[in-house]
Amino acid sequence: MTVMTDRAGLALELSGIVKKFGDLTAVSGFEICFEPGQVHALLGENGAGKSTLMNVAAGFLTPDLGEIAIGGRAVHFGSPRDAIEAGVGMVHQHFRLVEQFTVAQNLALGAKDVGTLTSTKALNERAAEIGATYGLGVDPSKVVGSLSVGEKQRVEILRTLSRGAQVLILDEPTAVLTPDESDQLCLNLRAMASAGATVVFISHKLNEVLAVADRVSVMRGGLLVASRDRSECDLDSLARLMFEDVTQADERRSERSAVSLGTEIMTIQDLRARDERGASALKGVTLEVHDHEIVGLVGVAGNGQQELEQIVAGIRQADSGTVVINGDEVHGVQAALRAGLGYIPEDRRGTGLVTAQSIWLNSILRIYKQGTISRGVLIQTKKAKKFALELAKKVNLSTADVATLVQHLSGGNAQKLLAGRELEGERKAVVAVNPTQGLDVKAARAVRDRLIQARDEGLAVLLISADLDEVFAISDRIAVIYEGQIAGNFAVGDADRDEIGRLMGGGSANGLS
Amino acid sequence: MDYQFLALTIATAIGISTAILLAATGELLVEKVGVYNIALEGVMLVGALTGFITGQTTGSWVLGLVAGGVAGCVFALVFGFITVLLRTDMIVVGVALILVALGTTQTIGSSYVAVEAVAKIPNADIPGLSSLPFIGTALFQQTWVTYIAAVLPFLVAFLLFRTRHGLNMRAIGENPNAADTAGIAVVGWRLFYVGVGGVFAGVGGAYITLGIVDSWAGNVTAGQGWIAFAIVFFAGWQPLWILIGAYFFGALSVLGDVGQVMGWGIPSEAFTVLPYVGTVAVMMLRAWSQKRRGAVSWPAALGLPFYRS
Repeated sequence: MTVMTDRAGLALELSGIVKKFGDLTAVSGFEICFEPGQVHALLGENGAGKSTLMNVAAGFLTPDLGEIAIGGRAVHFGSPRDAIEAGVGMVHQHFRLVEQFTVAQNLALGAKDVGTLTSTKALNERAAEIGATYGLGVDPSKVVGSLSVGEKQRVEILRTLSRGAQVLILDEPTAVLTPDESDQLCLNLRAMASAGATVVFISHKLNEVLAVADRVSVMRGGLLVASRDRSECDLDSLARLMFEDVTQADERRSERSAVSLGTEIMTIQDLRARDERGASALKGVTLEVHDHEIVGLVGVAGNGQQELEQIVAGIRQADSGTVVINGDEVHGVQAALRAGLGYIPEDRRGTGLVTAQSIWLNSILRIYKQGTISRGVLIQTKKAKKFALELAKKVNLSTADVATLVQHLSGGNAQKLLAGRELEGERKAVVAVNPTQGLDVKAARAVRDRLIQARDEGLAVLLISADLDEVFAISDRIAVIYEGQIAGNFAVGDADRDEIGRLMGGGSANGLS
Repeated sequence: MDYQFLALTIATAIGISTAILLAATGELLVEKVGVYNIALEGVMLVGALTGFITGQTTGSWVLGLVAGGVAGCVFALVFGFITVLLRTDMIVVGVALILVALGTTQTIGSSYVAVEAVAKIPNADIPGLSSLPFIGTALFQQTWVTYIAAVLPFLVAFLLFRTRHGLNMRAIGENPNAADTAGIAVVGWRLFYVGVGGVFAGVGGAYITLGIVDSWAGNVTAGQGWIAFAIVFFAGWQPLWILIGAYFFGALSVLGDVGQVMGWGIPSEAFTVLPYVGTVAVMMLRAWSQKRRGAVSWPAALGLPFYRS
């Protein structure tokens, strides 16, 4: 009865695919085959070409050269629709769901078996049937905007499968999930492969690849560097393949060097705020960060982190409660800056940097009013460029030409520049939000090292992150935020991964301190 | 105010709302797929002149309306081509096209100024209903176009909320990337509905010259396109509120005449600006009430060009 068994056994073969963006060759031509009945992981650091290759396979990009074959038959995709008809569907990291629609309406979009006239009841029944067929349950009548990220992903997968996809491509599917949701997803993917589907799993996380895949292919710089069965892979060999010169995966490697812990530098007291829609987003958050301390705040996206981040940085107003930085109660960006707060926002290219401007202009954004850079209303370009050059050297930027526009910097370099700017000078505290998101391992490590260095210099660091590994790797204390409240607060030595995962998902704590 | 006078006033208000109602209903379709045709005023002008000339030449108001619709469609598609396909800024292009329409129609139409229409759209009494006391006079002695215009919002509501195609349309306006992934032709349908909106506005324009003022003059639409544009916002993108909105502004428009007849002693100029002031006031009220309810009802991708990503 299922589409799955009808079309089981479609292999996806990609031969000599070349895709260029301007001067950059993202994928440069090799053979790779994804077999049915397997979870095939495509591993590589950011910019290795994994997503580009699979976007070609799913019809989102047209290759410059090369051939695609599905089940041995050559195909040409002009659009995602062609790919779906051939049985290839892709689940992107950013979901392509209509947030304002219900689950059932989203599943009905573009579906061939939906009648010309629709009724809510018929659509809901159809959605429930699809959910049952593939063993993924979601309430059909719920509005997608109100679902958790894990549920949205399930809807996205269901939609792809219900369209008859036999080759299911997932682009970094666990990046947005809680640990529990990730585990559930991996189980689901294994089940789909067992039922005969071809599952392609794009990732840069070694551990989860080893946990879920039957076969692992590693890409680097647009080329395939290895393709092996799971049994022939281990952590070290895969890491070596991914990064020529990196030989170990991340581990806990930061112990606080300072002995003194006592002064509260950043004190957040009973903070309450509403989101754009007027719903309560922060329901009395209290959190302290001391000097020489990194506090990692973890939580599933959308539990109030954004509101908290913005209030501390001074770009959003709280309904009640206070933020004290270095003894001063701060309201507004200038006050926060004067109190010595650095701010590394999540949206580094939108909020953190002016991408259409040069490195040197971006370097002085926080200090251009100071006498060192400006005389009266005039910015002294020479001094500004000198300052920028020193900063670029200090943070190890790939280019020494400070006239380069920030939009031409890679994600890693842009983040180094931003972190450098926000941590230099007379700083007392810093808020960093997902500072390594989207960065490859080397760049991520550089940014983490910079945060650790800042901590060792005495700063109070509030690290708001969705990456549990990162928080465990560099934090001294871990706090969990759930639905606008601090659900737990642990010294890192006392923190237990499972318990934190449970708290992130809204579970109750055992032995909460 | 006697009954007969009130009934006639209501009839007039409904009648002169027809053009706005048509244009606003069409614009709703356009905006539901994520495009706003801010050149609506220009589209109506083009339809008004084309309809009038066709009526004068052929002597047929039906052909006049058809020609108005076709011309409106073509003109709207120029907008659609530039904004949807070339992804330029809708406001800049829209305003430029309005000025183009204003200048061009004034030049071409100069020899038709102050000529009476030969093919006026006749009233069509609905047998039985039109002879009812009061209601018959108020509602059922209109033109066919007015009756159809009043029914259209209901058909549009059915299309949007009860059909598969309507679901697809709304998806295009809310999240074109989601629609694209689902295999819906985003650009194609956006162009299609810009064209359909052009037909509605073009017929509306022709209705002004053939059914309301019965003549051509430069800028004969006098802002009705803008009001239609505003009504879509006022209506919160709900088809049935378009109907209410259009009649409300029709009523404001006749108040001036009523005031003169009744001798209220208020200068008629004050009433001339009433629909426009009313538009602003209603929009403010609406924004305020939306803020309180915390509801955002416009299509999320409204006005954003589509890039496949």
